[in-house]
Amino acid sequence: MYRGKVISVLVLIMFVILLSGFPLMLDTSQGALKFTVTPFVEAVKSYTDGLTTGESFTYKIKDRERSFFEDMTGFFTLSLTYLFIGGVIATIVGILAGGWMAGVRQNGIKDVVGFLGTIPDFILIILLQLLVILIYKSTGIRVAKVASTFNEPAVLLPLLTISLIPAIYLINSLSQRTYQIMTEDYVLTARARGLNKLYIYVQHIFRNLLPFLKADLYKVTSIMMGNLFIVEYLYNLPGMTRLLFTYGHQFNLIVNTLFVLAVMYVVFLWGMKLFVSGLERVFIYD
Amino acid sequence: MTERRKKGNWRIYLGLSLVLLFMLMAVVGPFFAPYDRDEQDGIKTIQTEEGPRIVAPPYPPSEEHWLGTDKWGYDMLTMMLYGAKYTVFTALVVALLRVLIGGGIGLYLGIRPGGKKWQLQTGWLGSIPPFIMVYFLLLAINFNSPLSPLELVVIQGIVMTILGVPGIISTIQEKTIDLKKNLFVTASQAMGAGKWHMITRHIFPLLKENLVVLLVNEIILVLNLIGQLGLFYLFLGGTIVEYGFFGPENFLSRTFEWAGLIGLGKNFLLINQWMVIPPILAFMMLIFSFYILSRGLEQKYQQTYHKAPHI
Repeated sequence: MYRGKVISVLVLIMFVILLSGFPLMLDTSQGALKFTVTPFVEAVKSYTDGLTTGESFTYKIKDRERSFFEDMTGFFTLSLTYLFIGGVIATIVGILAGGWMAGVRQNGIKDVVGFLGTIPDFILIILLQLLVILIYKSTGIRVAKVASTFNEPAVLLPLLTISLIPAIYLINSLSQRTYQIMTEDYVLTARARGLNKLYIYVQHIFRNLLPFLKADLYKVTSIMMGNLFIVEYLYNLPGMTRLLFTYGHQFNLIVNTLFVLAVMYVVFLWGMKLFVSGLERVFIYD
Repeated sequence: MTERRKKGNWRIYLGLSLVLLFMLMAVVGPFFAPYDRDEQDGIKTIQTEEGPRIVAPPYPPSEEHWLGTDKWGYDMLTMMLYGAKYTVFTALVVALLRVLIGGGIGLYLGIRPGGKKWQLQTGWLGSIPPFIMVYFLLLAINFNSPLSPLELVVIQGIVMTILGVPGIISTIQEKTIDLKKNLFVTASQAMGAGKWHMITRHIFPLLKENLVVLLVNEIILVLNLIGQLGLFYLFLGGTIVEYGFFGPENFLSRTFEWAGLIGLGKNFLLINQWMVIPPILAFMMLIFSFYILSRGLEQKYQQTYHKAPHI
């Protein structure tokens, strides 16, 4: 049982090191594309050497040396908080709206929700920002912060974006599942016995929806991790991904950040699993 | 049943004609561009009521520049018409290659007797989104590259293709294994049909509709990926960087592809909205035309019989 986990961690480590080192392997300075391994091997060697001395856990902003772990904790907390809040909102909205969508017969509404699901995250963000700016220009009312300033992160728009995209995914997938469950014979039996609709929804449909929701969590969390990069970048949030894009290509920094992101992903995934089990405890009882 | 088929049809016609329109625009667009590709409208003097005034780009939309100009005085409409071919055709070709290669391998793995399911090793790798992988793969070659724009587009295309193939393989393999369970396939196998016969006569005819829908959805995914890279100044066909005192200062797209224009325009969101609105609307229209096409196809191919809900 543990073998699979160990292998997947080893694959991750190799993958992260190769990915972070890839830009070092290509050299275009001579006016042509050249492939070299030496700088990459040196970087990996100095990283592994620095693990014991702690040098691998430092990075540079301009010329100042900073400690990775000291700076990281704040970023980590912020990213994880946004992910959690977004994930919880997305799950609740997904279940409720998915149940509603399952009963919708008009194709038009399905077209619109489906299209919302295909709009890329960055377009959604820029459109929201444009909307806020245009409202401000015409009425003078500042609806929300468009981007974070020095010590005040934007809240409303980032949370809206980060929960909207997985919510639409869940609405689409859960509505199909709900529809499927509605066609089952046990629902017909329950109807025939005269149980009320709400009871059937919670005790029959929601209960049978949960396994699908749990299976969907993997997809949802990885969609949200992908969005996180774009959301933090475009709203200028002081989160984990800032370390990847702001301070140039420093091998140590990139490797460390990607590892911490992997840890964050797992924490997030387990948190979401816990949340869904909580829902199960509250609503489903015998 | 015939009625349902009709319902799906307007989506297909609308999507197909929009897609063809975009492709036509990508090919002949440059001939209709109001300005030359490299023509810049620099600083100039204009006559106002209070006398002559010196103005500098970016110019807002006007009669001379329908969609305005960017910071360097390039005409937005001209740039978009010249850049369209890179965005549209890269997405098409990359998606097509993904489906062809992934579909072929998936079919082969699925038809193999006793073949084990080729599971995608996700797990912890779910934490690294695809665009981050492309980001690091392209980081070294995209800025002020010695390669020509076409060479760069080809390299970027190959990277994006390879990244998408594993997903397609597992989808197609799963479908093939499902289809193989059909009685008529087992029967023909029992009568000694070869692999090739089974693929061409039984599996592929059932699979081809799925493949078409898959292709259209892949195009949307590739467009999404191109757009995300554009935000980080990794433009299709390369980026020109001008270094200033504090590091990289100005970024320029070498090909004017749309994602790049969005990536550049977003920096002027607060002041000059015309620099970001046209490329974003064009990008959304492009995605919409593929989406509505895929919806139409899905409805057309949907099973003609299904159970009705009880609640």
